[in-house]
Amino acid sequence: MKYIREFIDRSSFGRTVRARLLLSAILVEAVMLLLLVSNSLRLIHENMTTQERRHANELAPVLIAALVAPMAQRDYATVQAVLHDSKTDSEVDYLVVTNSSGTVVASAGWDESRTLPQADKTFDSTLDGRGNIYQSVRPIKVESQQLGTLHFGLDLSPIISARRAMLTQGITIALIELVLSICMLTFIGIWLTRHLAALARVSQEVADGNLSPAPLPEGRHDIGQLCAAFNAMSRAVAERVNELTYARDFQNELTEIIKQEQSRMTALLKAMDIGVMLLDMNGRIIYENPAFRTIFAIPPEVALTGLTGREVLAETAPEFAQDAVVAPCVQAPPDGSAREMQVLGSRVVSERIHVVTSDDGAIIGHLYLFEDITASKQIAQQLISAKEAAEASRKTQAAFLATMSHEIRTPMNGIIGMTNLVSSTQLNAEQQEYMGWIKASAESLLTVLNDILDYSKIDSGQMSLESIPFSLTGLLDEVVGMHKTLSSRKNIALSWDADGDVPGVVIGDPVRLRQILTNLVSNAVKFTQQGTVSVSVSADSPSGNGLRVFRFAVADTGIGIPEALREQIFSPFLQADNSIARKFGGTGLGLAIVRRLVGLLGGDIRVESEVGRGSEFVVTIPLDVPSAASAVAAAGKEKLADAGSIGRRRILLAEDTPVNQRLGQLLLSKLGHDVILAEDGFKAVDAFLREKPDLILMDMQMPEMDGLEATQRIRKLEKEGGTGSHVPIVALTANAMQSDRTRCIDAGMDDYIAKPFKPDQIVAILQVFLS
Amino acid sequence: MIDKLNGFRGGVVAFLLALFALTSHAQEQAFKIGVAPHSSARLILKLYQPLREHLTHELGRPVEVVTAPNFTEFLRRAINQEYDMVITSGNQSRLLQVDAGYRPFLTYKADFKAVTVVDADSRYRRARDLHGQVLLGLNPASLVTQWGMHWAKKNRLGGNEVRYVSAADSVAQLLLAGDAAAGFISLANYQQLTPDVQQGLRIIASSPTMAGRIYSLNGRNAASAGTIERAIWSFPRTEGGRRYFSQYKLKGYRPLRPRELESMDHYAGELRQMLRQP
Repeated sequence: MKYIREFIDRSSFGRTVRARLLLSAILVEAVMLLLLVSNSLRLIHENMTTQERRHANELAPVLIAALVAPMAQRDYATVQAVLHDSKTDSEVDYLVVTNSSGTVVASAGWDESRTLPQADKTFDSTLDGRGNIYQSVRPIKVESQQLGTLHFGLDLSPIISARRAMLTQGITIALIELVLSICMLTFIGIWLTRHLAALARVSQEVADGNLSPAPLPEGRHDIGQLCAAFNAMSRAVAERVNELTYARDFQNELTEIIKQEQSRMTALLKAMDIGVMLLDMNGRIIYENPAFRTIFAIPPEVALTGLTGREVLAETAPEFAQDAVVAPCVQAPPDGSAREMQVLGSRVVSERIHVVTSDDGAIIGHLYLFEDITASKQIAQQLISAKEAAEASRKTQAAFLATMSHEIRTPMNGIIGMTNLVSSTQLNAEQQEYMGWIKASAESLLTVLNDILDYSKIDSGQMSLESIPFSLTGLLDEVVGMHKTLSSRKNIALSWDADGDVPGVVIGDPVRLRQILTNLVSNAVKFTQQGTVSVSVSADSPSGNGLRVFRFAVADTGIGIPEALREQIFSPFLQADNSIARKFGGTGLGLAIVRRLVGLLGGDIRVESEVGRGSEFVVTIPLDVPSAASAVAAAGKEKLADAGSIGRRRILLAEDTPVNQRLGQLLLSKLGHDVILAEDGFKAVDAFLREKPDLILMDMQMPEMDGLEATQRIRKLEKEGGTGSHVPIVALTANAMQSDRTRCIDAGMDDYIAKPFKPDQIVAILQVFLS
Repeated sequence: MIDKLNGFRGGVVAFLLALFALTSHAQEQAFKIGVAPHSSARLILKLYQPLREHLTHELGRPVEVVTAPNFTEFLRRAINQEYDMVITSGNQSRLLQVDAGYRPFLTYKADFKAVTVVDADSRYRRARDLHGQVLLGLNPASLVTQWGMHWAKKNRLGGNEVRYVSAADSVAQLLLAGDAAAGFISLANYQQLTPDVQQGLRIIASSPTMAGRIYSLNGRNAASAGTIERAIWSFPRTEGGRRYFSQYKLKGYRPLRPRELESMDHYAGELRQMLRQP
């Protein structure tokens, strides 16, 4: 059985379903035939044996019954006749009758010279080798008288022959049946499994690479359904293979790209100066680049893989080693955390830690980036030092400018103020003329001073801009108004106009815009002998951020500017030419300041000119258009400024400079107000408490207590008073720094006036806060 | 001298061995009781088994009960001295007494009669009814048959075919079958028929009492006759003997009267004639 199984397993035939079915069926059939034949033979043999035994058992009594009478009658002839007749039975081999003395008295089929055999003890039909004769000996008795003995032998050859014949025939029939079964089963197997064979063949084709084999025949039966399913599977497999092939190719491309990227990354890691250390979940090094070793002075021959960061950096960076996280995953530093540490005592190394996570967000390690920032630190330190020096220089410069501004403006304020005061008194013509020249010179000097201070501030970056709502029309009126006298004197028609869609109020820096327009108009009037100077304003449509670009064009019919000099005029301290400087004067900073201011305001300036026909300076500045409330407030403030008499008020003047004290007192007195004078901040606070002024004009720089502190105290006292009173405090400042002005407002002041201030500025302030 | 002595010794030993052999042979040789075939051999053997067993025990030797195919053969064998003792009818006993030297010594107490039987349902009621009919009898040598023939002759029956059958029960069956008109059997045999067979037959004639079964001892056993006769006479006293006589209604043994068999002479003569015939 083992060998048969091996044969089946090894042979190709044995591997087919058909063969296995066939072999199984044949095996079963063979076993069953064997059982059937053997059992049939056994049963038949047993039956025949039983029949023969019965025959033997029945024969003896019959014979004996037939022999009793003749034996009793000693009619041995009859006995012989009986034996003879009985011998005709083919199964009886011999019959012998002996008398009571044992003498043979009759026999049939027996050589009386032979010795009678002993009786067989059992009836065994398988008597091969013993002559196929069953030996039987039976007494011939009647009652208790034994008349003789019957010896007979039954020939079992028929049984044996029959058994052999049955065995032979049975085996033959079984073999024939097996052969027929083999043939029929083979045919049936072929018929049933032809589709399986085809399926196997096509499957092999698919396995060999033919993904589009010929479709198998389909049908309603189960094999046909199997073939249909195979066809569908084959098509699906072909599609999937194509998809997989495409994916594989794509993956190969990606792999190649990744390899290249890895190579580049590896080269990058090797080439970069930043040390890279990659730790696993247990804090052990799984990668480091050469820069890491260089930073921490680790020799190349030292193997680091598997060591912890603490172990590696214990000597070179004890600070790091001490604080190194043994198990980053347990004490995981936050992703992106950074620090700096001393390495080898002298160098500074920055450390950045990045958490490495898998696609599902699990932490799988930490990436450490180290960078020797010693040089950077040094440079930074140097930069810091330079910055500090620059800052100090800036502060020094700012302080110088502030000081200079204050120190120059204060006396200039006194000069101009007093000049105005003197001019307002009764003077003769000569005195009026002299005062006029003094005033003009002072204003010219102030202009030059302002230009220089402004240019310095711009150049030093200390020019700050405001963004407040103001009346554009008011500003234009003011600018034109400022030059009305001169233009009239020169018989120049000076005017301004604006497009209909130009808003009356805009948000911007009115001071700087005024300064720009004043410079341009002043230049236009200066360089025009006759004709017109016009200022026109237009604005484009609002942009998405609400800003509108306003176009201010100042056109004149003056001398014009040669084309070669149109850019030069915007350079500081340069005019068109020296002759113009000598003829018309000026510092040469005006247009340079204008261009700088226009640039600070985010605008642009250009000029078009024709020598002898005139010039047009066009400034475009983006300005925001306020909401209606802001516009009303700005207009209101302007209106407020234009309001009528405010009555007699008590004005506290906090000013330490005597000339300004005097100037202020005279001015305020002329306006009909009572003046309370305080020489420093302390006295100002006392005067506030004592005199309860209606308004305070507070100088910023005063001894003992400056204006800011005094203002803060006054506001505190007002708050502590709980009455909700609020006395307007206006700063009198020589500082044009926006930061100073911001500090004024932050301290609690309501407004400020720059020194040197003009009387109408005082009037306007008083109108704003006391009307 | 020594050689002669040795020879003598050898002769003595041989004699003794032969004597022993003879004695053994004599002891082992069965006592044959020949019984006339008045019935089937099986019945005869069965009938006389009790006597055989008794005699086997008494005589200390095997006893065989044998019969013969027919009366003629029986007589021939008896005359041929094949039997140690014969039990047969009176006619044969007389013949054997006269011609073979057998000495009859006892018979049964029960009377022996022959009867003529017919089918009870038949029309045969008298002898003359059987004129020309088939008559059945046992062996012509049987006493019953001889009486029957005499009866038929006496009743002047003619034209009858006489068939001889082997046993009384065969006669009965043939009569019942209608194969014959009448048959001659012994009354004892008739009485031994099954009741239903007896019911089917009718006795139309009966003989006078005759000598039935006679026990005759062969003359060669004269030396042991006394032993044998004593053994036989003791049989009725045995349990088997009592059953035997009771079963077969034989009433026991009685010695023969002197010359009791002489009345059988004419029957014996007919037997003698039969025997002479080839």
